Amino acid sequence: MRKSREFDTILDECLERLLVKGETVEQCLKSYPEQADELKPLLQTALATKKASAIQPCPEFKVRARYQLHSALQEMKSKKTIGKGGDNM
Amino acid sequence: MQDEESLVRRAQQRDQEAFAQLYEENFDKIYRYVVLRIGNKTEAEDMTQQVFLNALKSISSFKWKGVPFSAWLFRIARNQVVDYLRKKAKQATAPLDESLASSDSRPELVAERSLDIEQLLLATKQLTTAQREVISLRFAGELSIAQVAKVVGKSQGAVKALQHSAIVALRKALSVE
Repeated sequence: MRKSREFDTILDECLERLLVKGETVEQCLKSYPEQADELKPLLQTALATKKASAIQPCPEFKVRARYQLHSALQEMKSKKTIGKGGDNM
Repeated sequence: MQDEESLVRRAQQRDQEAFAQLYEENFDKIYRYVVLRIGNKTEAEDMTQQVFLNALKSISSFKWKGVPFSAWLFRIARNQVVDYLRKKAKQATAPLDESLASSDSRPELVAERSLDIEQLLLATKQLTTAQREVISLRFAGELSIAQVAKVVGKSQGAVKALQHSAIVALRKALSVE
Protein backbone atom coordinates (compact mmCIF):
# COMPACT_ATOMS: atom_id res chain seq x y z
CA MET A 1 0.00 0.00 0.00
CA ARG A 2 2.79 2.38 1.00
CA LYS A 3 4.77 1.54 -2.13
CA SER A 4 1.69 2.18 -4.23
CA ARG A 5 1.18 5.59 -2.57
CA GLU A 6 4.81 6.46 -3.25
CA PHE A 7 4.40 5.54 -6.92
CA ASP A 8 1.21 7.63 -7.17
CA THR A 9 3.19 10.61 -5.86
CA ILE A 10 6.11 10.01 -8.24
CA LEU A 11 3.68 9.70 -11.14
CA ASP A 12 1.98 12.95 -10.18
CA GLU A 13 5.29 14.78 -9.86
CA CYS A 14 6.30 13.56 -13.32
CA LEU A 15 2.93 14.61 -14.74
CA GLU A 16 3.43 18.14 -13.40
CA ARG A 17 6.87 18.28 -14.96
CA LEU A 18 5.65 16.84 -18.24
CA LEU A 19 2.35 18.66 -18.67
CA VAL A 20 2.86 21.92 -16.82
CA LYS A 21 6.59 22.60 -16.92
CA GLY A 22 7.11 21.20 -20.42
CA GLU A 23 9.81 18.66 -19.58
CA THR A 24 10.17 15.51 -21.69
CA VAL A 25 9.30 11.92 -20.79
CA GLU A 26 13.01 11.08 -20.89
CA GLN A 27 13.88 13.83 -18.41
CA CYS A 28 11.28 12.49 -15.98
CA LEU A 29 12.48 8.90 -16.38
CA LYS A 30 16.06 9.92 -15.64
CA SER A 31 14.96 11.13 -12.20
CA TYR A 32 13.36 7.77 -11.40
CA PRO A 33 15.40 5.03 -13.12
CA GLU A 34 14.00 2.31 -10.85
CA GLN A 35 10.42 3.15 -11.79
CA ALA A 36 11.20 4.01 -15.42
CA ASP A 37 9.69 0.85 -16.92
CA GLU A 38 6.40 1.40 -15.15
CA LEU A 39 6.39 5.16 -15.61
CA LYS A 40 7.17 5.35 -19.32
CA PRO A 41 3.91 3.97 -20.78
CA LEU A 42 1.85 5.95 -18.29
CA LEU A 43 3.60 9.23 -19.10
CA GLN A 44 3.23 8.56 -22.83
CA THR A 45 -0.49 7.92 -22.36
CA ALA A 46 -0.85 11.04 -20.23
CA LEU A 47 0.92 13.16 -22.81
CA ALA A 48 -1.28 11.85 -25.63
CA THR A 49 -4.39 12.38 -23.47
CA LYS A 50 -3.40 15.95 -22.71
CA LYS A 51 -2.80 16.76 -26.39
CA ALA A 52 -6.06 15.13 -27.49
CA SER A 53 -8.11 16.89 -24.83
CA ALA A 54 -6.83 20.33 -25.85
CA ILE A 55 -9.79 20.93 -28.14
CA GLN A 56 -11.30 24.33 -28.78
CA PRO A 57 -15.00 25.10 -28.92
CA CYS A 58 -16.05 26.04 -32.46
CA PRO A 59 -15.64 29.76 -33.24
CA GLU A 60 -19.33 30.25 -34.17
CA PHE A 61 -20.38 28.87 -30.82
CA LYS A 62 -17.94 31.13 -28.98
CA VAL A 63 -19.32 34.20 -30.73
CA ARG A 64 -22.88 33.15 -29.90
CA ALA A 65 -21.97 32.34 -26.30
CA ARG A 66 -20.22 35.69 -25.81
CA TYR A 67 -23.26 37.51 -27.17
CA GLN A 68 -25.55 35.64 -24.76
CA LEU A 69 -23.29 36.43 -21.85
CA HIS A 70 -23.18 40.14 -22.69
CA SER A 71 -26.97 40.17 -23.01
CA ALA A 72 -27.25 38.58 -19.56
CA LEU A 73 -24.79 41.10 -18.13
CA GLN A 74 -26.73 44.00 -19.67
CA GLU A 75 -29.99 42.63 -18.34
CA MET A 76 -28.52 42.44 -14.84
CA LYS A 77 -27.14 45.94 -15.14
CA SER A 78 -30.49 47.37 -16.22
CA LYS A 79 -32.28 45.54 -13.37
CA LYS A 80 -29.75 46.99 -10.94
CA THR A 81 -30.31 50.49 -12.35
CA ILE A 82 -34.08 50.13 -12.11
CA GLY A 83 -33.68 48.80 -8.57
CA LYS A 84 -31.57 51.78 -7.58
CA GLY A 85 -34.12 54.17 -9.09
CA GLY A 86 -36.83 52.48 -7.05
CA ASP A 87 -34.79 52.78 -3.86
CA ASN A 88 -34.41 56.50 -4.35
CA MET A 89 -38.09 57.09 -4.76
CA MET B 1 -3.86 35.04 -7.12
CA GLN B 2 -4.17 38.59 -5.76
CA ASP B 3 -5.18 39.79 -9.22
CA GLU B 4 -7.81 37.10 -9.51
CA GLU B 5 -9.16 37.98 -6.09
CA SER B 6 -9.66 41.62 -7.02
CA LEU B 7 -11.14 40.58 -10.37
CA VAL B 8 -13.66 38.35 -8.60
CA ARG B 9 -14.55 41.12 -6.14
CA ARG B 10 -15.17 43.50 -9.05
CA ALA B 11 -17.29 40.87 -10.80
CA GLN B 12 -19.31 40.43 -7.59
CA GLN B 13 -20.02 44.16 -7.71
CA ARG B 14 -21.47 43.60 -11.22
CA ASP B 15 -18.43 44.93 -13.06
CA GLN B 16 -19.16 43.56 -16.54
CA GLU B 17 -15.59 43.85 -17.73
CA ALA B 18 -14.32 41.82 -14.76
CA PHE B 19 -16.84 39.03 -15.27
CA ALA B 20 -16.11 38.96 -18.99
CA GLN B 21 -12.41 38.54 -18.20
CA LEU B 22 -13.10 35.62 -15.85
CA TYR B 23 -15.28 34.14 -18.57
CA GLU B 24 -12.57 34.39 -21.23
CA GLU B 25 -9.92 32.92 -18.93
CA ASN B 26 -11.98 29.87 -18.00
CA PHE B 27 -14.37 29.18 -20.86
CA ASP B 28 -12.22 26.78 -22.91
CA LYS B 29 -11.13 24.76 -19.86
CA ILE B 30 -14.71 24.31 -18.68
CA TYR B 31 -15.76 23.31 -22.20
CA ARG B 32 -12.99 20.69 -22.42
CA TYR B 33 -13.91 19.32 -19.01
CA VAL B 34 -17.58 18.99 -19.98
CA VAL B 35 -16.73 17.35 -23.32
CA LEU B 36 -14.59 14.72 -21.61
CA ARG B 37 -17.24 14.06 -18.96
CA ILE B 38 -20.26 13.71 -21.24
CA GLY B 39 -18.62 12.71 -24.53
CA ASN B 40 -20.80 14.95 -26.68
CA LYS B 41 -19.37 18.16 -28.14
CA THR B 42 -22.68 19.76 -29.13
CA GLU B 43 -24.32 19.25 -25.76
CA ALA B 44 -21.11 20.34 -24.05
CA GLU B 45 -21.41 23.73 -25.77
CA ASP B 46 -24.85 24.40 -24.32
CA MET B 47 -23.84 23.11 -20.93
CA THR B 48 -20.70 25.25 -20.81
CA GLN B 49 -22.71 28.35 -21.60
CA GLN B 50 -25.17 27.45 -18.85
CA VAL B 51 -22.30 27.08 -16.36
CA PHE B 52 -21.34 30.71 -16.90
CA LEU B 53 -24.91 31.98 -16.82
CA ASN B 54 -25.40 30.15 -13.50
CA ALA B 55 -22.09 31.52 -12.24
CA LEU B 56 -23.22 35.03 -13.14
CA LYS B 57 -26.43 34.57 -11.17
CA SER B 58 -24.71 33.26 -8.07
CA ILE B 59 -21.34 35.00 -8.08
CA SER B 60 -22.36 37.13 -5.11
CA SER B 61 -22.41 33.93 -3.00
CA PHE B 62 -18.79 33.12 -3.86
CA LYS B 63 -16.52 33.50 -0.83
CA TRP B 64 -12.81 33.97 -1.37
CA LYS B 65 -10.89 31.32 0.59
CA GLY B 66 -7.66 31.26 -1.36
CA VAL B 67 -8.98 28.60 -3.75
CA PRO B 68 -8.89 29.69 -7.40
CA PHE B 69 -12.15 30.96 -8.85
CA SER B 70 -11.88 28.23 -11.48
CA ALA B 71 -12.40 25.57 -8.77
CA TRP B 72 -15.77 27.17 -7.99
CA LEU B 73 -16.67 27.19 -11.68
CA PHE B 74 -15.69 23.54 -11.99
CA ARG B 75 -17.95 22.70 -9.06
CA ILE B 76 -20.87 24.34 -10.89
CA ALA B 77 -19.93 22.46 -14.06
CA ARG B 78 -19.61 19.21 -12.13
CA ASN B 79 -23.09 19.57 -10.63
CA GLN B 80 -24.55 20.20 -14.07
CA VAL B 81 -22.73 17.19 -15.51
CA VAL B 82 -24.02 14.99 -12.68
CA ASP B 83 -27.60 16.16 -13.36
CA TYR B 84 -27.15 15.59 -17.08
CA LEU B 85 -25.74 12.09 -16.63
CA ARG B 86 -28.50 11.20 -14.18
CA LYS B 87 -31.15 12.23 -16.70
CA LYS B 88 -29.29 10.45 -19.48
CA ALA B 89 -29.09 7.24 -17.44
CA LYS B 90 -32.88 7.20 -17.20
CA GLN B 91 -33.14 7.17 -20.97
CA ALA B 92 -32.78 3.67 -22.42
CA THR B 93 -29.94 4.03 -24.91
CA ALA B 94 -27.71 7.06 -25.11
CA PRO B 95 -26.95 7.78 -28.77
CA LEU B 96 -23.27 7.98 -29.55
CA ASP B 97 -22.00 11.33 -30.73
CA GLU B 98 -21.85 11.15 -34.54
CA SER B 99 -18.24 12.19 -34.52
CA LEU B 100 -17.46 9.34 -32.12
CA ALA B 101 -19.22 6.73 -34.20
CA SER B 102 -17.02 7.52 -37.16
CA SER B 103 -13.74 7.41 -35.28
CA ASP B 104 -10.97 5.15 -36.41
CA SER B 105 -10.00 2.48 -33.89
CA ARG B 106 -7.07 0.60 -35.28
CA PRO B 107 -5.08 -1.65 -32.95
CA GLU B 108 -2.04 0.52 -32.41
CA LEU B 109 -0.39 1.64 -29.23
CA VAL B 110 -1.02 5.14 -28.03
CA ALA B 111 2.67 5.97 -27.93
CA GLU B 112 2.95 5.22 -31.64
CA ARG B 113 0.30 7.55 -32.94
CA SER B 114 -1.27 10.84 -32.15
CA LEU B 115 -4.53 10.43 -30.38
CA ASP B 116 -7.54 12.53 -31.37
CA ILE B 117 -10.41 13.65 -29.21
CA GLU B 118 -12.87 11.10 -30.61
CA GLN B 119 -10.53 8.21 -29.82
CA LEU B 120 -9.95 9.63 -26.37
CA LEU B 121 -13.68 10.01 -25.71
CA LEU B 122 -14.27 6.40 -26.70
CA ALA B 123 -11.47 5.26 -24.42
CA THR B 124 -12.74 7.29 -21.47
CA LYS B 125 -16.00 5.34 -21.66
CA GLN B 126 -14.01 2.43 -20.23
CA LEU B 127 -13.22 4.43 -17.08
CA THR B 128 -15.24 4.52 -13.88
CA THR B 129 -17.13 7.75 -13.17
CA ALA B 130 -14.57 8.77 -10.54
CA GLN B 131 -11.61 8.04 -12.83
CA ARG B 132 -13.21 9.95 -15.68
CA GLU B 133 -13.88 12.91 -13.43
CA VAL B 134 -10.29 13.10 -12.21
CA ILE B 135 -8.89 12.79 -15.73
CA SER B 136 -11.28 15.46 -17.02
CA LEU B 137 -10.37 17.92 -14.28
CA ARG B 138 -6.61 17.23 -14.45
CA PHE B 139 -6.07 17.04 -18.19
CA ALA B 140 -8.87 19.08 -19.73
CA GLY B 141 -9.49 21.46 -16.84
CA GLU B 142 -5.78 21.81 -16.03
CA LEU B 143 -6.38 21.76 -12.27
CA SER B 144 -3.70 20.70 -9.81
CA ILE B 145 -4.18 17.63 -7.60
CA ALA B 146 -5.03 19.91 -4.65
CA GLN B 147 -7.66 21.75 -6.70
CA VAL B 148 -9.17 18.51 -8.04
CA ALA B 149 -9.37 17.22 -4.47
CA LYS B 150 -11.34 20.34 -3.45
CA VAL B 151 -13.73 20.05 -6.38
CA VAL B 152 -14.51 16.36 -5.91
CA GLY B 153 -14.34 16.36 -2.11
CA LYS B 154 -11.67 13.65 -1.81
CA SER B 155 -8.19 13.60 -0.27
CA GLN B 156 -5.18 14.38 -2.46
CA GLY B 157 -3.95 10.81 -1.92
CA ALA B 158 -7.24 9.42 -3.19
CA VAL B 159 -7.12 11.69 -6.24
CA LYS B 160 -3.54 10.61 -7.02
CA ALA B 161 -4.58 6.95 -6.78
CA LEU B 162 -7.55 7.58 -9.09
CA GLN B 163 -5.31 9.44 -11.52
CA HIS B 164 -2.93 6.47 -11.60
CA SER B 165 -5.65 3.85 -12.13
CA ALA B 166 -7.33 6.04 -14.76
CA ILE B 167 -4.16 6.36 -16.83
CA VAL B 168 -3.58 2.60 -16.59
CA ALA B 169 -7.17 1.99 -17.75
CA LEU B 170 -6.83 4.52 -20.57
CA ARG B 171 -3.60 2.91 -21.70
CA LYS B 172 -5.32 -0.44 -21.78
CA ALA B 173 -8.40 0.88 -23.60
CA LEU B 174 -6.28 2.63 -26.22
CA SER B 175 -4.05 -0.39 -26.76
CA VAL B 176 -6.80 -2.91 -27.36
CA GLU B 177 -9.05 -0.79 -29.55
